[in-house]
Amino acid sequence: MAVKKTGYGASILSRERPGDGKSVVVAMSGGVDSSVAALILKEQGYDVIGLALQVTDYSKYRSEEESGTCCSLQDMEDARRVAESIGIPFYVVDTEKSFDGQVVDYFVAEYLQGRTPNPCVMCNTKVKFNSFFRKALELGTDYIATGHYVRKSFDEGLGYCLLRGEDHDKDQSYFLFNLTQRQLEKTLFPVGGMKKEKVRQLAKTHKLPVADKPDSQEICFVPGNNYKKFIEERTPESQRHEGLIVTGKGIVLGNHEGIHNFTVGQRKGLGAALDLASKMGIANTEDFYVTKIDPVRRHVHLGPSRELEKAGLVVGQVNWIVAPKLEKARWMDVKIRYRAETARASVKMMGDNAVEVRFEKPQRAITPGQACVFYDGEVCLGGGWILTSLEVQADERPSEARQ
Amino acid sequence: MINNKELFFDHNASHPLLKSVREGLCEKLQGATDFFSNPMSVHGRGRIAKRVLFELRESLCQWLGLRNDSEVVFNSGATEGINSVLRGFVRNRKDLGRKPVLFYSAIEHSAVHNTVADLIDVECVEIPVCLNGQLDQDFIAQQIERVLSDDKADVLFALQVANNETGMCFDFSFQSKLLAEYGSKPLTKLPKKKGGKFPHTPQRIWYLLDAAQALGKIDESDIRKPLHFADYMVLSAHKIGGPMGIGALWIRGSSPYHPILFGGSQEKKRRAGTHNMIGVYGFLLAVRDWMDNGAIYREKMAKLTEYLEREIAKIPGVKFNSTSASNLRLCNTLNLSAKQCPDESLLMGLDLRKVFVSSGAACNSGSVKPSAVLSKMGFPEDIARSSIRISLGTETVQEDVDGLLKELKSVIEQVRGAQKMADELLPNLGRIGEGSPLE
Repeated sequence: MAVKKTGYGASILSRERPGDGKSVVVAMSGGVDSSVAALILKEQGYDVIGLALQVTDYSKYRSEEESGTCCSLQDMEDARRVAESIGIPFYVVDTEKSFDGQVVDYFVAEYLQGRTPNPCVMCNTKVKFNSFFRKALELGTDYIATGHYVRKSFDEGLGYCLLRGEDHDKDQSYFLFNLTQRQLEKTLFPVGGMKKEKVRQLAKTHKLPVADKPDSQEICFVPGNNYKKFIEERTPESQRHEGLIVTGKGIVLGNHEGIHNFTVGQRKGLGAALDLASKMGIANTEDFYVTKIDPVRRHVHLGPSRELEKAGLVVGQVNWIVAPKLEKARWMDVKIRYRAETARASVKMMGDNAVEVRFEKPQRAITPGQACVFYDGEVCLGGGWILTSLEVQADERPSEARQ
Repeated sequence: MINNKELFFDHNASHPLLKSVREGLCEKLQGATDFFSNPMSVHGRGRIAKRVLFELRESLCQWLGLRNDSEVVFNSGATEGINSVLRGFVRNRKDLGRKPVLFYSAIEHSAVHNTVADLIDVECVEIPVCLNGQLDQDFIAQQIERVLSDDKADVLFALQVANNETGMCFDFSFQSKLLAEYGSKPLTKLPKKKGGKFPHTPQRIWYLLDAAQALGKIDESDIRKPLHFADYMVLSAHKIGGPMGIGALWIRGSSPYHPILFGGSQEKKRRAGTHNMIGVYGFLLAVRDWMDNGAIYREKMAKLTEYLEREIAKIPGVKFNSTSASNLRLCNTLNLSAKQCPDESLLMGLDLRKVFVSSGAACNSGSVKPSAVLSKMGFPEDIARSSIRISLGTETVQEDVDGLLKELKSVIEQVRGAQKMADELLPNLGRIGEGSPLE
């Protein structure tokens, strides 16, 4: 797909001032990326307004560990100090209610259904982009901007395209597959064309107070990263779906306290069940993983790692940023986890907004609930949510056939 | 579109230093070194400082009609005053084997709410406030009867003279009823003394007035009225154009008290710590200014506020959250909600146009939370989330008010236009609490 690159934020050193006379709301998280995004836009001549979202009341978790999260009180302070040092107005917007509804409730509900949610995608599109857009409209600015490592371009035939970040290690297009053309049109990604080191270096040379701040890692709203506790605090016992741990052949290895404690591909916390399995004479239990979660029967299936390999998957709630022609199956690069490499797969429509994906080679640990995002080279075409995986047929499994 | 002049309409947060205070302080700060000394010192410089302290005490008493200037204690402001009185009252009563009970309105300043929350083993009664901004008097009557039926109970009311967000003033008439009911006779029959007279009746109900927001903005006579029955009052200098970090606590006679700060013997050991003499002098200048010009200031602010109220009322979909009855409202405060306009959006839009107003309560992250005052008064959430407060000061002029009106209209229009556009542009958010996208 030929795409003409007209991305913003190409070089801070070029002294281009594409922003003269235009205004932009920058989503500031207190991290180095969004801080540098604000800095670049300011240097490019935009009227910049810094905005941070307070997604949750962190005083609720005062006693808990707070570092390594995003949007904490310290982050708000950091963002404020950066705004101060760049010389732009800065505000904090309370989005606690929509965050609770759109992200926290979703997160808990998905785990209770035996799926593994991706709250960052939900937060980015349903809370962040919507809130920033609303504020930008209210304040009458021309654009919004974020510190995401993605680029955008315009193509006469296709419209606005979302491209992977120049720094492929940091590429965040996976989180933004839900964007619409209207949103993309009005969004700037000033750091998308840079490597992370360059961003840090800019922060340093401009003496931004967050130049050395580490990247955020964990799910920001779960104190101490304790999912189990977080989910159970929000769920009556009757809804916790206790059940059995079984092998693929249906041999019972024990009980579990709820399917929300498991993720496909997980190994941790299976000790007792695996001990029993080896005592029962099941071979190779050291190679056992959670291979499947059956929310209807509340079974957690364990099996050898090869059972994690799947031929494909079904994706629901698909959003196309750039609508591809899918009258017949088409090859694309597909990403099934943020940290996964893309894999070649043939993609075909299954209805209005669902597609079937069949990989060139079987893929490991396809996790219902995670996002599945489609690429054509650098262009992020769109994505959706993984509903279910598709089993490898016997004739498709060469390694097994050899055994 | 952008003004050159900043339009400041947040005087209830803090009134900028009055001209007389600015000039007077500058003169002394640039002048002789002997002026700001420690008034506890025995030497000549100490005496100069002590005289300033006396003058402030006397001026305050004269202004507010307090009889005994030794009852005035200087501190850092109303928050400290409230802490001292609530904690001091509780400590004092407990030491005497009594049971302190704190009554306070639902819309008190957070200095009251959060101090009460910090006190352990104390019964607290939050008095509901009605939509009209007034105390629920039936509730008070019921609760007082219940509480005082315990012979050991002693009650302290902590009430503001005027609310900081709405500017509305409480009607204190319930006090005379309580006085008639409980003030002069004991609840349980005590043996009569010879001659058939009741023995001396101990006081059971005390009153703390938070006059921080009302000072200057209501006629002195209106503060003097509740002061007739009050036992404590707290003030902050910066609300009347004095410096920040200085205030006064008035304690009537031998009212229950126990200090929260210990150290030197300042303020007759009621508040230890070296006096903030720059603050004291600035406070003195501010008090003198208000004693001379208060009536003129109030008339001017009232006129502009009423004009603003009439003009804002013409903007479609704007509703006032406080009464328009001038005898029940500060002469400088308007609280309003504009339909479809979240308060934070109005605040930001106005701020970017250099018009400074305030709203609800700022949370410690700096985001805007729904107004607790309006919520407690029973306003629906959309009103509590869209209220802004406009408060005028002594130096506000007609031109400022016209500027505010122009910008307010334009921001409201912009925000409403944006809401409409957002609903069309943004993908359907779904219902809040919808949970999984896959269901």
